[in-house]
Amino acid sequence: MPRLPSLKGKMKAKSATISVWKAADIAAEEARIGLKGSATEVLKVTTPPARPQGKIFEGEGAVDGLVEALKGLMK
Amino acid sequence: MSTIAEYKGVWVLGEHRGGAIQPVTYELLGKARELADKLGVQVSCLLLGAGVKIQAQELIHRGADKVYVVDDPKIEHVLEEPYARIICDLIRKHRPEILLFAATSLCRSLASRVAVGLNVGLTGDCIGLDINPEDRCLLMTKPALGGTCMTTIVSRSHRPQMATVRPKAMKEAVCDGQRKGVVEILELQESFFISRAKVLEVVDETASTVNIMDANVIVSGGRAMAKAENFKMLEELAKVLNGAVGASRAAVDEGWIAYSHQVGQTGKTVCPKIYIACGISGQIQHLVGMQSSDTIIAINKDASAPIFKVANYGIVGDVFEIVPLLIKHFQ
Repeated sequence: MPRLPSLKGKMKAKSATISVWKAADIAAEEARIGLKGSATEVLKVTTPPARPQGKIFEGEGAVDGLVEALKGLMK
Repeated sequence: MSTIAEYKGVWVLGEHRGGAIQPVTYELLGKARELADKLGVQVSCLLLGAGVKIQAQELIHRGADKVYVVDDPKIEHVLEEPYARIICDLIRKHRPEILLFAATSLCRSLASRVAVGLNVGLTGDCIGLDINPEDRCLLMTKPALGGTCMTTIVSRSHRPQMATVRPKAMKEAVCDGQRKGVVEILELQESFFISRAKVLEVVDETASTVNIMDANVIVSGGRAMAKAENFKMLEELAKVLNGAVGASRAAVDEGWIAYSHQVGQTGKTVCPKIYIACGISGQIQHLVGMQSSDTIIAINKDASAPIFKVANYGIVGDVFEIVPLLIKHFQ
């Protein structure tokens, strides 16, 4: 359950020491951490081209228009 | 430790249900053939199960040069321990450079077990595979961050390079009855088949809950369907289009349809040829589960619904008027 921090807790947090460990502090092997330790690496990240604006059918023949489009796709 | 250059060949794990090869295996074989031809190596397919021997020739017709079969009643059901043990053992012996699995619930789980067993990397859910001609590395492309971007991943330092591949992302290999290949039936020691888990019972999904991940056409319903009875309409449309019924989380939460139909972040990710969203507004959590569909069709009353942004075709109108008309047209 999420709780709201109490005033007492907030005051305590102000003076708390937060320890930061480096790899050496936990005796991590250099070869097993970070990119060196990974069997895979990301070569590139690309954004897929945005979908072109779709066709909206309206009014009287809307359903017929969609049916034609669907028939074309089902072939 | 053998060097990377000693690893040769492309391997595919054949997936079957009750002895019937799944189409995704043919998709993998088609891609494996293409990769192997670029590398100038052979394609091997591994088939595990009971009564699966007879399928080996078909795998050759679909592009395999060699098929390894373990046909034993003890592995009639997929048990991950023996399956992973057998696969790891064969990989260590034959040293392929590439090992492909289908990204199905079954093989995803198995692939990660094998990757850990072999201490190699694994790229999940790929939709594109290619070879980098410079260093012969496998370029594995997969959607990331909920499909908002594509990443290409390599594994330079480990072999085999492992990937799971999304069903329907690649073209099925055509069947060539003239193709020749070698089938090797393996007899394995008892110790390979030890499994701490046992299958007690297999319960088939009921007829109405077809696997939406395999469907070519999906008709999905959202909150605007208003009640469970209205999904009958979608079932009917799905039936005449030879497809399956999906749903948004809103419809599932309302109890109108079973969770197994849910598409989206907390449901299934689907990529059918045609996805018809009926009365679905198109929240991002739903979109990530279906936006890689080939064609998206949206039917919604609200012209400003976000679903129309990803739709190839749309009708602004009442689902309850439009769907019956569509059913009539396709009957």
